[in-house]
Amino acid sequence: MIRSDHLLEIRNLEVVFPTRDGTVQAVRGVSLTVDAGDSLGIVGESGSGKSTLARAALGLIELPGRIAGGEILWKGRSLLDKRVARRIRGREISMVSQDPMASMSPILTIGTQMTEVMTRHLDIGSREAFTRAGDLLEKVGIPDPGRRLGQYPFEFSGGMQQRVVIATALSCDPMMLIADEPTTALDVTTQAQILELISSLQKDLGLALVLITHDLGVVAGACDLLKVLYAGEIVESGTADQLFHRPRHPYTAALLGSTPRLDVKADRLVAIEGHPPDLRQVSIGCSFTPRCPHATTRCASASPVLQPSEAGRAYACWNPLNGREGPGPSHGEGRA
Amino acid sequence: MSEALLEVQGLTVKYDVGREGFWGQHQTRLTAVDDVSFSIARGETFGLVGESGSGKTTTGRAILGKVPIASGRVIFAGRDITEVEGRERRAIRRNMQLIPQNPYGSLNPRMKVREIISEPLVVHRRFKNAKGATERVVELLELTGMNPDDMHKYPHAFSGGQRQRIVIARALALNPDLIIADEPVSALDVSIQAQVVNLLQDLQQRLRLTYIFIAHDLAVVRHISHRIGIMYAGKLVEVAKGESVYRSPIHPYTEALLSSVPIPDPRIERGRAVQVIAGEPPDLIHPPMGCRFHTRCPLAEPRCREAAPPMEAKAPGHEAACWVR
Repeated sequence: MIRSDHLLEIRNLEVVFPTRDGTVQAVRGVSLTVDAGDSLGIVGESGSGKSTLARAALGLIELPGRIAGGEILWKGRSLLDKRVARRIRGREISMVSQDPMASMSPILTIGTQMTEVMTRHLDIGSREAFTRAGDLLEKVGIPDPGRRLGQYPFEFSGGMQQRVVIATALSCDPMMLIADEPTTALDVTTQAQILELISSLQKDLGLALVLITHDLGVVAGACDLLKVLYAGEIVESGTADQLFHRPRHPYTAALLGSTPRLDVKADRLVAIEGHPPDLRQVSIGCSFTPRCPHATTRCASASPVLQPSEAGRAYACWNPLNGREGPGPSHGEGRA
Repeated sequence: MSEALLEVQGLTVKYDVGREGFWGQHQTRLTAVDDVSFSIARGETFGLVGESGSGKTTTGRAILGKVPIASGRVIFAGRDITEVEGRERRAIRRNMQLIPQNPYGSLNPRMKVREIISEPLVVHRRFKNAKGATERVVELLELTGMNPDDMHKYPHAFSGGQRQRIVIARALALNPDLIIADEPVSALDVSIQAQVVNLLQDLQQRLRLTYIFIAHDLAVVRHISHRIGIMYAGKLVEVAKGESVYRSPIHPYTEALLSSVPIPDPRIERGRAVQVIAGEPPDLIHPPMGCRFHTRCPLAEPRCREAAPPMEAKAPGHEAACWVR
């Protein structure tokens, strides 16, 4: 046991994937903590390492990928130990991923799949597990649970499948739920239903929620704390209000600027020129330098460290933005 | 923006999806698009929005002549093209191009960029071969913000955003009037998405293009469209100027759809009551009687179950199909 006062603590995590053309450094020195009842949003674009981070936290990094450094602690116990991870995964930490069909077996009924998790982790028989599965389906808003338990995943719509996955994730009373793009595959009206469900369950059950997404809109309502990931590193962290209204890292600001908003009519989106770096050749300096409008020579030669600043926020930047609240999140006027 | 470049009248598309009955004597048909009408002026961007299965993609494909039309008419530049086939169809296709969603699937991995972009030019006999079209390819690459040297590379050398630029360059090769962009940015990251959206807007200005922009993302559609049509379960339920749709939606479905879109601003999100609509879109093989939305509509009245509401003008330039509003 290593001393940790947090539910989940990740210290300097490094995850690498060796490929034919070089080693991809997917997660580079990420540290974070999650406490009971927290709602943490992890935001990043493709290749930022957000899903790899989630999988690492559950001990699910598969070969040839490996954890090259750092520590992941769950209540002080190392999740790098496969046996510990196996006992905790699905029981104390559970996960909801993007594609509900990928989380379920197509050839087993919902009831069989849900009870399997419970009989494995909890000390209950299959009959009791079945009753419990019915209650869970009801809790996540699936009508007629008795009949539904006997059905196969294909008989459910995408939104309903995701509800089943959430019910299964909650079946062992976990303390933490990791949701990796839980609504990306769904239509907006269904997304609204699922987000509302996740938020209300989080509050009712006092769950710690880690919500991983590329969509700033999704975390705005569901998360109090945010971390922004770019090229495998956390570039900024703080409360949702701080990051949305007073971003200090130019990437956070640029991401906000390039997100079209339904409530604002902007004449032109503020695109981030260029594209994310190749993680096989990691630069010496800040990875955002080639795309950053505020970059100086220093940015290219030395990597800024994630510096804690005022009121629990931190950012890794040599030339941070002033952090004063603008007229609107980088879009200027025109709010409808 | 006066003359209509494209007019769609009562467009209906049905798909055969199997057979019913003991001997399979009944053909089961799914009505993907049902009696949809709208018109688009030259130089305009018409946003077509809807969720999966709403018929937005099928509408685009029917206009391009890629799916058989069960009934209704498609009038392009004053000419009825509904039943045009063969050589004439090819001539029309020159003026209408598609930008598909997935820039990974729409580029042949074994062709170099020059061959990809010049292919429509060669097929339509503007040039003998890819080499002859080099000058035009360079022009198109520059137009879409790419480097002319890129023409010697294969698609795998490019990121998603760059591939989509190549797809756009190919679509522009024959100087089309109408571009049907089917979810052109939804496979891209936001930072790249903004680049492509800005490019499409610039190209429209320069080349006086007309766009049908098909998407599920209302925020992007609001940003790019002059007018917007909202589809639900194969029906067009509301058409209006972009601003009117967002400021004063008429159809209850439009309202619910707008309310479902999360706003990237925690202060707004916390104070906002999201109007979550329960349930799911109906089965299109056996659609409900009356208004297709009545099964989920908070305002539904008995007459909504009996007859489908017609599309009618509710305000100047603002049409909707609803009995209650």
